[in-house]
Amino acid sequence: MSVAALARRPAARPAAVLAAALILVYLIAQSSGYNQHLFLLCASFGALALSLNIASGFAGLFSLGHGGLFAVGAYTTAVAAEKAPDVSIFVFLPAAIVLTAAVGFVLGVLSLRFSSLHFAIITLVFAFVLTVIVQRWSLTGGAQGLLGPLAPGLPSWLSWAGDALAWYAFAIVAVATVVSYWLSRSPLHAVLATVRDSEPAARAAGVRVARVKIQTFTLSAGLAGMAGWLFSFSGFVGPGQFDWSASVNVLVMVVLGGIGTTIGPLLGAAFVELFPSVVHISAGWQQTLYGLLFIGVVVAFPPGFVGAGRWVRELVSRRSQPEPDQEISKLTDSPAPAAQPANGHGPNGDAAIACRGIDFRYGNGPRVLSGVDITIRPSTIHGLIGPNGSGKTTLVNALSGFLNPNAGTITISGAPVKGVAGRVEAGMRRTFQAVKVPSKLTCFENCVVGLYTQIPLLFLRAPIWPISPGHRAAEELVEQRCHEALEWAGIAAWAGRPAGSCPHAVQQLLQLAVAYVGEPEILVLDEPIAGLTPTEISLVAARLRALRARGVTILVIEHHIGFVFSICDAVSVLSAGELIADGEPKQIQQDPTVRAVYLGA
Amino acid sequence: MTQLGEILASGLTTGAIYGIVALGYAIGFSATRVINFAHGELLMVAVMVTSAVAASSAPVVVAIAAGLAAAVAVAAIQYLITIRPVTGNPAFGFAWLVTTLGAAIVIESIGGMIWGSQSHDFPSLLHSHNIHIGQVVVSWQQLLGLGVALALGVGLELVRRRSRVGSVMSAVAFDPEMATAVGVNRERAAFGAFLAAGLLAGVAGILVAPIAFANAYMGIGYGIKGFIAMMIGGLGSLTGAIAGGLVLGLAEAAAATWIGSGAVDWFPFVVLVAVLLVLPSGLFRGSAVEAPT
Amino acid sequence: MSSTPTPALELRAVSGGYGRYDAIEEVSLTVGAGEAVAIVGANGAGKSTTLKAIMGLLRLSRGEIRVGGVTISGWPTHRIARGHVSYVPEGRRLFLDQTVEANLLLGAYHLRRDQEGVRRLLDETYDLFPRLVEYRDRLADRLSGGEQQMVAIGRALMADPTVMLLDEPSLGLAPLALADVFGRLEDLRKRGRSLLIVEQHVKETLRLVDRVYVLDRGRITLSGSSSEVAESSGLVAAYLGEAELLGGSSDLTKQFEVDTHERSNA
Repeated sequence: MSVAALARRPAARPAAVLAAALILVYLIAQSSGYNQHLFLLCASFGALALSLNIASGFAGLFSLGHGGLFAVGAYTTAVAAEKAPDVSIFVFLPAAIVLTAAVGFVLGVLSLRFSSLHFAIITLVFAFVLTVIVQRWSLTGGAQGLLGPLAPGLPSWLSWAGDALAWYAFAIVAVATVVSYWLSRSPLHAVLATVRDSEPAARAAGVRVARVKIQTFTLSAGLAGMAGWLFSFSGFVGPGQFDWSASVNVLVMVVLGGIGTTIGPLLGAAFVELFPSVVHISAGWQQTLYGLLFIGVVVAFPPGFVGAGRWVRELVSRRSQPEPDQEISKLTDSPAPAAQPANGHGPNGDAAIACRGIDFRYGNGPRVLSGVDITIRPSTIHGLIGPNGSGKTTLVNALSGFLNPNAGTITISGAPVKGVAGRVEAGMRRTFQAVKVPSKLTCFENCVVGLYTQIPLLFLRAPIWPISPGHRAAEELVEQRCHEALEWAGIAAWAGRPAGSCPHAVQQLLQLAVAYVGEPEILVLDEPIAGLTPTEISLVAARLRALRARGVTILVIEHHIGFVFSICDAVSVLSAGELIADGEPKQIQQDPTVRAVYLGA
Repeated sequence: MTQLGEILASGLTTGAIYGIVALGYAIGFSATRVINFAHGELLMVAVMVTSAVAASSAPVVVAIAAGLAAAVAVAAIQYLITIRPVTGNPAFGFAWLVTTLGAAIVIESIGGMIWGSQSHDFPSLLHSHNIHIGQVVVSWQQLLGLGVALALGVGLELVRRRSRVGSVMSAVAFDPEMATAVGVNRERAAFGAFLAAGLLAGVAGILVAPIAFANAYMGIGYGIKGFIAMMIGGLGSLTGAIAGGLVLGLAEAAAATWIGSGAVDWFPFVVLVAVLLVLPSGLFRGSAVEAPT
Repeated sequence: MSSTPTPALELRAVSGGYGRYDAIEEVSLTVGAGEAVAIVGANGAGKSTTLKAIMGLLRLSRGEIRVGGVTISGWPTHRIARGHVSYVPEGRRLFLDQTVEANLLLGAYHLRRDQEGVRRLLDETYDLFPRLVEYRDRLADRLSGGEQQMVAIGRALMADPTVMLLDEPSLGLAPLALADVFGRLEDLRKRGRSLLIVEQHVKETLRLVDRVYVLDRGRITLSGSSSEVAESSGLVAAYLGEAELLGGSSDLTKQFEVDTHERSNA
């Protein structure tokens, strides 16, 4: 059973779709040159739209420069065909892909320095600059452009299939579709969605966000280059075809069709390309209509064509997903199946987490943390308490690598570790106080992200997922461990529901499940039981104790002091950024400074 | 020396126009955190309507008033259709990007249908009168543009710092939710800001058209230049907008003189990229503290 | 014949929240004219949510809110703010790029037509917060936490509201500043202002206010005068661990004592 089976999206029936497509292409290959030209345009823009969808829809990297990437692919092909007419045009396909991917790589690297808004602007600038360059460069034919290459014919034994162009077009758009589809059915899809919707959650699961963004944009660019290669067969490659409105048009196609879906971009591309031939209106009215549609889709109906289809289907079937049982604690309180105890970093006495002299302030503001020293022993549960605003979350952010302290040292299992990724590798997982689960993913898919570090080379395998080596094993692992994690957290009944529509308590427990699924050795929890009922709280307490018995170290911030005192081996108390007490719960309970802090001066 | 003088003269006067366009972007942005990509088209509307009304033998003042009014009207409609619906709860992060681009497309294509792609006559105001500063020749029209830009830059900044309106707009830019909690009607503030932006776009257009041209497809060019100017000056900063415009104008003029006239097309982008890489938040800090991410 | 004066603020069975689920349910409370009332409870109980619901910053699913007898539930925030309710939010949220006096004047935004009245209010505010006179032209950014809190309260006072809402005024303040702030709130109370304060700092708050509501997981579990509530086990239950520190006990803490025992035997 695949990962996708538990996702909400129903799987298409590949064989039927393929057969229908092949028949359609065959018919087109037999028909007029005009039809074939139209099909060529639909296919190239379809592939381009799919490429943009991967970057923007899946990963949230909004690009206004895909028109430019398209141009790089098309021009590479046209120039190469002109300069080396004897070389097979198919040789230039990988060239176009690689060159465009390289450009995408550079743009991707730039994206990290900026917010997404700046990135979108940079891509727009890129599109403009590229237009200007090709207009002035003799290599690219200047303002006149270049004649595109002729598509080589099919070998004589395939002549029954009709004109070659239609088949090349089909091949290209099929590749783009398949890559996009497979990617969306692989575990990478959940990872990209998390990067898009909740970057801290992705980082906490060990995702190297920067790397993933660059990789995604590079892949997207490569596909855009491929689409450009195909487009060059349309006969003419000139600067006017790739100006800023081309980039905007591609975005229109994606949004109109349904951003984030697989067939959406194809539908959008087909609509935009076929529209002028079906409806005969002037270019001016056409552009106006596109503009209005563009506005309309976003304002009135964001899910686009695909969303409209789904809406109609749901209306017709009149059936919505049944509400699962509300009681989370109804699930059995069975302890998780005995897994091996965590590889303790313990025997030599190294603290699981130790920090010395931590100072932190925001800019020139007041000190949020001053000289904090804490030692957290392995295989213990360590509580961190203190009034609101005492700096607990800031300290935890520093310990988990989300913040760099202005002064002080932090060691994990005796060694200094760099950044969040380093800590994840060292076996640390964490949850957040303001629940940050990606709301459009199901609970199950959320857990998938927690396994990121256990699926090697995910990015390379995702576009070819169903045929990549080891995918079955990975899917089984994901299947088994995510279910186990959801059961452990008591929320298995909610596995298939989008996290955003689950009650707050379920989302809290989901964070725990996502941290658990990564088999952490060190668990850092920031207010994990906020909003839970007493029964749920004791279940969580029992789970944490069981983890401790298996050797896991747990650091927990909580306000619920009864909870803290009942499960913690040691407690640290922060007040106004300073550590005011540290020791066993009984000591802390009687400490006069602590009482004063809680009861007011 | 003359060369330098010429660069200064043409750079500052062209830059002034860019600055006024940028000022419109900045005002709209600080009130709503939205960059209105259709801003350049509002400039076009003012220019074309003025040109059309002037062609019907109405007095120049009436034509200009009509042009400005048209720009403001289109700005109001555009705000209501493409910005207000998406500032509350956008479907996806960049909904406003999509809708304002859509608006730009719509306005430009309608303009193209009404007025065609050829350039039209524009009433020349002070264009033909020149003054000589040393070896350099500038027209009164150009100086007017520079004067207006500086006056607006200084004036609006003073308004922002000293007047109640300015205080309210700063509050809306800084913490929109808290602004509503002290009783400010955020939507009305945003609407007002966009009307002002439309007016500024119109003013820029009226100032530059006598020198340049009046064409239904001119919006995108000035829109981009003005956008670059704002990014150079700092997103949302008023003085930054004018400063950014002047810097851009000078850079463009220098490039045109020392590299070639073609450089005018691409050099501004080089400047933009350079500024973004070195000083991502531009030269000044805007009052809207954070750009939307 | 005496008539009961209109309460400054009334919540009737108010439920609401952020997403699909209600963070507060069936909350009913009253703040009489000239009363100081507190909402206390553990983190996540819904205290801030209640204030935000009153200010119209989040959606109400059920219930009614009245200020000075006028129903305001469903109004947009800016309308609620105009003359009726003013808000001192968590974290103060001053307009840091403007001066202290500019911030104060913004508080009186809806009264701007009456410049005389605004001047009077400004004088009254400076009277109550003498230190602010020194800082009137200083950028709000350059003040300490306690000073910013004063400005935030002053800004709310400038609205001449029927009721003032304060969300954890003690947050992030050093003990000295805290005492200062609560002293000022005491002054406000003495001048007859109606206050609704949300706090975690129980002891100080109980000393300041007339009545207390205890919120636990979105619902009011207890209400009464400060002294009544201070002694009840309901308050203790809402805070749980506070009981440990206060030296008391309750059924719930007994449950945890069992667990503690288990653990020490492990």
